[in-house]
Amino acid sequence: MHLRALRRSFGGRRLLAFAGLVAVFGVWFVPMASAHNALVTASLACNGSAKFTATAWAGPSAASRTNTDVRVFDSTDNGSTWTQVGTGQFNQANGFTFSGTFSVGSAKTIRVRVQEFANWGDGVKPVGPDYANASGPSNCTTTTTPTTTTTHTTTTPTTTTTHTTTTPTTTTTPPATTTTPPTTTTTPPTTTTTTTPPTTTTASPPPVTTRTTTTTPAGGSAPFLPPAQVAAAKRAAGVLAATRRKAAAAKLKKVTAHAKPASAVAGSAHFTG
Amino acid sequence: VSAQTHGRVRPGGGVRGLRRPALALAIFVSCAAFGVSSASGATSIAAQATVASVPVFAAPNAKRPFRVFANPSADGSPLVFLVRRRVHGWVQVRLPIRPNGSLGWVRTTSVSLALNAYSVTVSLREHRITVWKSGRAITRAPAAVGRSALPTPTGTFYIAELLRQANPAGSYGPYAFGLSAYSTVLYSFGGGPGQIGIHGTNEPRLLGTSASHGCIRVANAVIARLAMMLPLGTPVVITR
Repeated sequence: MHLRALRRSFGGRRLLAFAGLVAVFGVWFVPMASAHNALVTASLACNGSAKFTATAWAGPSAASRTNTDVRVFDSTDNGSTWTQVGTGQFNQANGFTFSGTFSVGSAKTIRVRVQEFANWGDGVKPVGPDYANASGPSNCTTTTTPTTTTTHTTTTPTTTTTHTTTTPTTTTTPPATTTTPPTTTTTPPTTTTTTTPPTTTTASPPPVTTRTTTTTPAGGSAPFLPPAQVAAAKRAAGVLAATRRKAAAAKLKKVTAHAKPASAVAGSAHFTG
Repeated sequence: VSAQTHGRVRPGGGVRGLRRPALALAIFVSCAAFGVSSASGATSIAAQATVASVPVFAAPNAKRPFRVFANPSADGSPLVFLVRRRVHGWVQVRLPIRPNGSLGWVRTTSVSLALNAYSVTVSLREHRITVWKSGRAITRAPAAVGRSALPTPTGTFYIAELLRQANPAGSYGPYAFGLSAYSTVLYSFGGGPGQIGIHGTNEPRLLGTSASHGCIRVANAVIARLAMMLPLGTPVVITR
């Protein structure tokens, strides 16, 4: 149907009016629906120091960008468990942004989550969290300084073996890599480790939370041992197994009899021939 | 028990793929495990049943046996196993059943153990059988092995029975050893279950070729000599 004919008919006019409304209000509503959220960026340095920056959305008014309870969490296991590493608020005094640092130990990658827990200043309810991933630089130099010592003692009926393992620390700090999160987030809010009551922190200064991650081998497995130490542990386990076999063999009665040539039995063979 | 329980055995007691220190360690460990003192590492242990039925378990102290063997076997041969490993009160043995390489645990109260200095190796590529005693080759002879469509299975097996044939000039010659190995192609042959044997032949011209249905054929003179020499439970290692 031509546009002129559409204008002439009554139904056509109503259709055009509706299309106009959709065009005008659609443009206005779309950013309204996808906004009102906090944004976060994160970076991770060679020494295990992570930095985050939380920023309010670029709303049209100061009230729409104000939030009095914003919390930051991090995860070193790709989001399975979260630990709160910072809290703050967005207001005009801090330019609707705050940042902080925390330690993640020997983790190579982290996932940071920012989530608002109070209504925004214009009354809009919290939308949902925003995430950022950060990885440590790939060119970190590793020096194995024995900072912690873990002792595993394996007791067998005959032998006791002690393995000593050291946890390495990483040094030197090339430029940290930063990953920028997506601008809009539609993920529903997660409820893990968010039982902390709301804090009454004032606007400034920005919070700094320090968290130290200690990697202690559990159950005999050392997740961050260098290959050389893993090889040494395997060798020790092999020697232990050989020792146990030898001890068990010593208990066995020695075979002294000698087998005699077989006595042939008369019979028709049915082998494959 | 020699190193053949832990790897592929090579004539002379060597284990393919291992260098000398590793070989020495392997022999030491295996000898220690089996309570056998053998300088050459070529001594095995045969377990001969001492009871009328021998229950075989999947593991020491398992509740129920997964198989019970009659002693003597159906053709009248005494029931013998090749010991692979020993622990207190139990021996792990190779079983003369399908699938090839089956293992099981037998109580030491059901068997009597005896050292065996002999072993046999068969090279399919070279069409050759070699008999070893305490690590020394004492007999080498050409053999006919399975043709390509009916291949002789490879692996570590043992002599499970020895049958004297009524017709020494027949297709099996004067004697036939029954092995713990079974054809992977034939599940029945001539009224039998496709069991692999080492026996004589009435076609000596085929020795040194791949002509059999899976069995290992040797000259009648050779099989007659082996029948006087080899105990039941002698390891037979068949390699490509």
